[in-house]
Parts: sequence; structure tokens; C-alpha cells
Amino acid sequence: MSFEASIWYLVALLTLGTGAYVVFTRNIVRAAFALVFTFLGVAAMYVFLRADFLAAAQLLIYGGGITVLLLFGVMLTHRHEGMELKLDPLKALPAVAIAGGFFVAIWSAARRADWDLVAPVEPVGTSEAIGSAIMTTHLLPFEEISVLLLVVLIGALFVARRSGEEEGS
Amino acid sequence: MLTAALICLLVPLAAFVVQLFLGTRLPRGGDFVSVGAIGASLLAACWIFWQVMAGGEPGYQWSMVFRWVEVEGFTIPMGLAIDTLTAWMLLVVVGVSFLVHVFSIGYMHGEDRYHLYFGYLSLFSFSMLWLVLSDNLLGIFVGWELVGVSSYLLIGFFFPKRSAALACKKAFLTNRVGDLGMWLGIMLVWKELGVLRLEQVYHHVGAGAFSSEATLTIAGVLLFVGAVGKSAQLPLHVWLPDAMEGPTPVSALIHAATMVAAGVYLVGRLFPILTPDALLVIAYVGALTAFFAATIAIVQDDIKRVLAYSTVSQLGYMMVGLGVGSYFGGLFHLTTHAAFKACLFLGSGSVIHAVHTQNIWEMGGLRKKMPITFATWVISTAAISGFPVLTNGFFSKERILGDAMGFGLHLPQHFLIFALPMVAAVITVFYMTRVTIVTFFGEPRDREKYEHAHEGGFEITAPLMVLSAITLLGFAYAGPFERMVTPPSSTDYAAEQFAAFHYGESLRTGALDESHGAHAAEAGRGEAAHEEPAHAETGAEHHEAPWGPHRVDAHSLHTGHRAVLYLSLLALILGVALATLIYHRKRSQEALARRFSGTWRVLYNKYFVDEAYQAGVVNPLLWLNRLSAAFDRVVIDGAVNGSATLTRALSSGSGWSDLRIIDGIVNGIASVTQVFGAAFRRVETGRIQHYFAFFLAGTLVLMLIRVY
Amino acid sequence: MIGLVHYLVFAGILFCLGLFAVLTRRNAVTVLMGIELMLNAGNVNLVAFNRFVGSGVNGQIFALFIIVLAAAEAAVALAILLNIYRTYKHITVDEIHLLRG
Repeated sequence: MSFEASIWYLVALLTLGTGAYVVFTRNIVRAAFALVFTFLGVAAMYVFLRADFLAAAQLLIYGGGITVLLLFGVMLTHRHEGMELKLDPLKALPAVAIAGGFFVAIWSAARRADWDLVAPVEPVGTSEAIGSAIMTTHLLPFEEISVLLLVVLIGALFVARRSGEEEGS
Repeated sequence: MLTAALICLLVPLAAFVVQLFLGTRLPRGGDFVSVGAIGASLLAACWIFWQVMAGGEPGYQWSMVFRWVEVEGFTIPMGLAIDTLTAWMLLVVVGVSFLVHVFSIGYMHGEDRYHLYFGYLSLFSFSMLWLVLSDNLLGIFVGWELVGVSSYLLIGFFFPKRSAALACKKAFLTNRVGDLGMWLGIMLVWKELGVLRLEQVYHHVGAGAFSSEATLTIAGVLLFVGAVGKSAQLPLHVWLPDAMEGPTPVSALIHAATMVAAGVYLVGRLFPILTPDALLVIAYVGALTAFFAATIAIVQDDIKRVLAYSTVSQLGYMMVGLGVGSYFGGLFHLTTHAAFKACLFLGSGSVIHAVHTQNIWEMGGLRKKMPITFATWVISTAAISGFPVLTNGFFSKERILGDAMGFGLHLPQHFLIFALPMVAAVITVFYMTRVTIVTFFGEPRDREKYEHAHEGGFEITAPLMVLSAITLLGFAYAGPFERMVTPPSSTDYAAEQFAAFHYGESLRTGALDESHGAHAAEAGRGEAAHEEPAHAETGAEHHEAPWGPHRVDAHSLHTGHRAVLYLSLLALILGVALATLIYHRKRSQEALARRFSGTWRVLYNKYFVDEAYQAGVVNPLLWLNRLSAAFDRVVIDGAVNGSATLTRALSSGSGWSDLRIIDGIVNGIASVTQVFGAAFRRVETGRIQHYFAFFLAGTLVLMLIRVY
Repeated sequence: MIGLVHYLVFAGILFCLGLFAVLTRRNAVTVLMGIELMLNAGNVNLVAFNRFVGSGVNGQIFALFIIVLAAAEAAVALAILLNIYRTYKHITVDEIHLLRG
């Protein structure tokens, strides 16, 4: 196994481990922090896949924005008795079955499919490619995304506001 | 002639209908309608009588026939026929009916349903006229039934009184028994001969169409059974005394003069076809009845009952007359009896109207208070007793007794046929005198009633006087009657075939006197004229009676007459003397009753015949009736109710099944749906994670299907 | 060498973990975390395919957009959750079942 492969496996393990921690831990705050590391791991995966810009974007948005967001969410909605959660074993079984089923499906698809592989390209900085693609080929989605973000902003504010009558302005 | 006959017949019918529907609205209850109608009939009858009698032909005949029922190969003709007998009967019937109508105006004054009474009288008149005018057996039978109905209605006129209701029912039912016999007789005649018109019947019988003499005898006897019922002979006499429940004028008209005479009339009409054996039966029945009824009449206390039993007895006389071959005797006695018996009944009605009682022991000395009634009563009593020459009863009664004696002398084994009526004659005088003495003579027994008694009005006394006048004039019309009213002789019908009787030569032997060939022809058929053989010329054909041994020729019948004359005079004196002796003194009735208490009890209770009938006939029938009713109630109603119960059970069963099963199925489906719904509803938990899980599971399944 | 399959399997595991979290967790925020995991796994898949199968940067652009959308969606979701929290005083998804049939 080459050096790159072993690093890759390490990073994968890290990501999946923290991901599992997020899923199974009872402590929400710890789950949120573990999620950060999962995002980091994914960013690393992007690097392995020579998607540098994406990795950066991932770190910034996910690691920065969404994590904070989630933490805010946790804080604002915490229950009085110290954020403990219990996992219901009864519900777990069908979920295990479904998740397991999906994993089996994905794995078998991945293994059996005859991927039309092309030779990996030499690493080239993707920023320029992404930037020009956004501005030219994918301009419309780009603009739509910006509108969407605006809408989301307003919408989120609106939804989250306190109603005037109950609690005063 | 046709017009007169139709007027005579139909005007009373019209009066009946008028009275039935309009009677209540007419003034005086419409009695003048009925009286007028019968008056019209009387005029018609008189005219017919004059037409018939003026001709002087005994063989007079007029008839009118129309086809009543006409079916394939089967016709029943109906018609009217008038001969000398019919003419006399018309006069008698309509005459007495008219007098009774007039009498009723006074007698029934103020009674309930007055209008209906007169209507019924008109109905009766019509019915009796139909009977008399009819030319065939079926027509006679129709008239027979009609008079029965009229009798029922009139006897039961005072039906609110229970005894009256029972009496009319008894009369009708007893008559029905007789009618059954008569109907069988008619059927037999029809079967044997195929015709019912009297003229044709005589013809066919004369031609020997009957299969045997025995059959002919049976037919004759059966038809006579009808007469036994209608004329109240033994053993069907029981209804006549009870019929006295009806109004007295009705008793006079129906149960003395006319309806009861219908039986005698029938026998008279059948005279040509009655075999000697049949005639013997008739004679015996008549003789026994005459004696039997007379004995009962001795002890009766009700004036009408005495007269009722007297009527029975006198009808027996008429039957005896016809039975021994005395056509004149029997039928003339019918007419004389009509006159004096009607007078007696109306007289009793006058008495009853005056003293308001029918019990003779509450009367007495009434001759001073009611002279007219008394006089007419005495005249009629003399008639019934056979008082010589002055009364019409003498002529008829003497003839009967005389001919009976002749018969008895000639055939000594049947002497009883003479003896019984002879003794009955004595008894007749006795009881009539008894009643006369107790009612009209002596001291009044009930002072109050006596004080109130008075003679009735003109409507009541006039008929009495008319009838007594008729009674007294008997000597005048006896001769014409005998001359004109003769039995239909074989010479009138198919004379040639008469000789072809195939009943056997042996029957032609016997007591027949050859030398009286001319007489013999008539003797075989009945009476010849007293003076001379009117049909001497027919003797040349030497028609002998086919039934020799029993028929007695005219000459032989005459042998007894002188002796009988003396005997009956003796009877008269004896009877009057005995009665006067006993009853002129007050206490005698009771003393006699005590001495002969056993006999008296039997006589007073009418030989217990009614009780015997009740026990032997009525009660078993009632028992049968109860049995049938019980059967009907238990079995038939049980079956019906049982089927109803079964239906109910079935319906409740099906209802249950509908409720339980059908509804169960329907409800079951509903609850299954509900259960399934409830089960599936549990999927809708409202929890997103569940929904998501289902969605993913479905997706997995789809993927699996897609791949494999 | 690390090939496409490796990445696919990795993404698959991550996805299934996220799925499990969505299906099982009681706290709504943790459910959101699971959603984020799933989205990330999808992204990895896209980029992997872009490198090994596709040409150009289309995959990466797609993934970029997904990241942006994920963020937006997270924001809105949290806004909603706040609202719910105010009403129910908790955000246990188990007990929020107004639409229960």
C-alpha cells in the first residue's frame, strides 16, 4: 500500500468514526463538535480528489457556518435537564434494516457496475475552471442560488421571529 | 180467459210488492191495496167460474203453456190450466181470502207492521193461486214452496214472541220434510215419463209408460208425502197446532181453508195415476189422522187449538174420501170445510178480540154478549157435525162416510178405514159441542172479561155472516159440483192406448161387477153422477180399471149410504147429549179429568208426539250440529290458525335470520373495514421519521425489483 | 490504489450513517446533523465521479451548489425548529405528531 492509500484510509476512518459518533452519541453538543471533524474529513476527501476549491468551500461553509448554525440551534432549543438523549432500541431495528439495506444496495452497485473509467487527470487548480464555469455555463443556477439565499435569509428571519402579541416586540 | 187468469193471479202479487216497499207510506197502511187486489181477483175468479160452469161440460179444459227453461234437448214448460176443479178452487181460495182480508181490517187494527201483514196476505193469495192454476207438477211444487214461505212469514208475524218464532220455524221445517218426499216423487215421474204436465202425465201413465206398478205406487206415495206435510197428516201434523201462534185471520185462511187444502188438491190432481195400493196408504193415513186428532181435540183448553186439531181431523176425512175412491167426497168436503172452518176460526177471532183470551175456561155465557158471532158459530158447528140437509157439511161428510162404509163392506179387511172416521165423527160432535157450551153458554167464568166483551165491528161480523150463508146454501151447489167436477177419465186421454195396459190381466179380475160395465169405467176412476151415468156411451169400449181388487165400483160404494145416514144422525145426537151432560155443569171437566187422569194426560199432551220428535229427531240433529261446529272449530279453525301460527313462526324465523345473519354480514363487513381501517390508521403516526422510514423501505423494494 | 469504488463505498457508509441518524434520533437538531451527513456523502460521490468518470468540473460545481443549498436549508430548518420549540417547549420529534391519523 502506498503512502497516499494509507493516509487515505486514515482520513476515511477518522471521518467515518466521527460520523458514527455524531450518530450515536447522546450528548448533542459533543455531536455538534464531532460533526466539525466529519466535515474536516470530507474536506480532506475533496483534496484527495483534487477538488481544492471545493475543499476550501467545504471548510468555510460547513465547518464555519453550518456548525455554528447547529450549535446555535442546540443552544436555543436545549432542554432543561442537560441535553441528554436516549436512543430508543425499538425504533432502531427497522432503521438498521433500512440503512443496512441501502448500504447493501450501494455497495453491490458500486462493486458490480462497470464504471466507464477514464484516466485520472493531472491535478490542475480548479478555481479558475469553477469560476469560469459558474459565470458562463452555469450562470443561471448561480443567479438562482443568490436569489434563493436572499429568500432563505428573509424566510428564516420571518419564520423565526417572535409573534408580536404573545411576547411583545 | 187468459186475461182473467192473469188478473186473478198477478194482481195480488203486485199488491204484495206495493205493500212491501210503499206500505208504510200509504194511508191506513195500505190495507185497501191488498183488499182491492183480492177483490179484483175475486171478480176475475167469479168470471172464470161463470165461464166454466155455464158451459156445463165436466171435461172443460183451457190451458196456456210457455217454455220456461229451454236447454239442449231439455225443456221445462210452464203454464196455466183451468178446468172445473180449478174454477171451484179459485172461487174457494179467492173468496175466503177476500173475506179474511176484510176481517183483518178490523181484527189487526193498530198492530205493528200492519202494512206488511196485508202484503203477506197478498203474497199468500198469489202463491195459492199459482198452485191451483198451474198445469204441471213443477209449477205446483213452486206454488207449494211459495205458500210455505207465506205461511212461515204469517205464522211468525208476531215473531218478537218466542213461541211464535219457534212455531213458524217448526211449520217450515216440517213442511220441508214433506216437500222432500214430493220432490222425490216428481223426480221419479220425470225419470219414468219425461214429462211433468198433468195432461201428459195422465196420458203417459194411461199408456203404461211407467216401468212397473210398484214404481207407480212409489211415485204416488212419495207425492202423497208432500201432501202429508202440507195437509198436516200423521206424522207430520205437529206444525199445525203450533201455527195458531199466527194472527187468527191467518189461521182461518191458511190453516183451515186453503193452504192445508193444497195437499188434498194435489191428491185430487193425482187421482188418475194413483194405484190402489197408493190409495190404500192414503186412506189409512187419513183415517188414523182423523181419529187421532179428534181425540186430542177433546181436552184442549185453547179455542184455537181445538179448531186446529179439528182441521187436522177433517183433512184426514178428505184423504179418506179420496183414498176410497170418492173423488166428489174428498174434494167437496174440501170446499165445505173451507167455508165452515173459516167461519169457525173467524168466529173464534171475534171472541178472542172481545175477551182478550184464548182460554175457553175464561169465557162463558158469551151468547148474550155476541149474538152474531154465536149464531154463525152454531151454524158452522152444525156443519162440521153433519147436521142434515141444512148445512153443506152434511153433504160432503155423509158422502165420505158412506163411501167409506161401502169400501169397508166390500173389502172387510180394511174396515178400519170406515170405523175410525165413524168414531171420529162422534168425537167431532162431542168436542165441538163442548167448546160451544163452555164458551157461549153457562155463567161467565171471568166477570171482568165478560163485562168488556162486545161484538166486533162490521168488518168482523160481515165475513162471518157471508160464510154462514154459504154454509147454509150447501144443498144448492152440491149437485152442480158433483156433476161438473169429475176426475179426468181415461176417455179424455189416449183412449185407445188405455186398453194396452200391461200390468197384467190378473189385476183386471177381482171384485169388479161385469154387469156394471158402464159404471165400472167410471168407478175405476171415481165417482159417477148420482142420477145417471153421464158417460154411458164410453162403456162400449169396456175400459176396466187395471187395478181391480182394491177399487170398489160406484154401485158397491153406494150400498152403505143409508146405513151411514142413520149412524151419523145417531152420532150427532150422542155427541151433543154427552157434551151437554158433561159440560153444562161446572165441575164436570175436572171430575172427568181426574177419573181418566192417565188417558187425559196422554191426550192433553198430544200423545207426546212433539216430545218424541224432539228426542228422536231434533236433539240428534242438534247433537250432530254441535259436532260439526266443534269439528269446524277444532279441526278447520285449528288448521287455519295453525297455518297462521306456522306463518308467524316462519316469518319470525326469517326475521331473525335477516336480523342476525343478513345484518350480521352487513355489519360484519363494516366492522372488518373498520378493523382494517383502524389497523392501517396506525401507520399515520404523525411522526416524520416513520414516514421517512416507510418511504425509504418502499424505495428499497423498488430498487430491488428494478435490479432483479 | 484508491479507486472509484473506495470513494463510493466510503460515501455509502457515510450516507447510511446519516440515514440512520435521521431515522432514529429524537432530537430534531441531531436529525439535521444526519441530513448534513447524507448531503456530504452525496457530495463526495459526485466529486469522485467527476474525477474518475467525468470530464471538466461539472461534478464539482454541482457539489458546490449542493453545499450552498445545504446551508440555506439548515438555516431555514433551524428557524422552523425554533418556532416549534417555542410552541412545544421541546423538539423531540417523537412527540410532535399533530398530523397523526
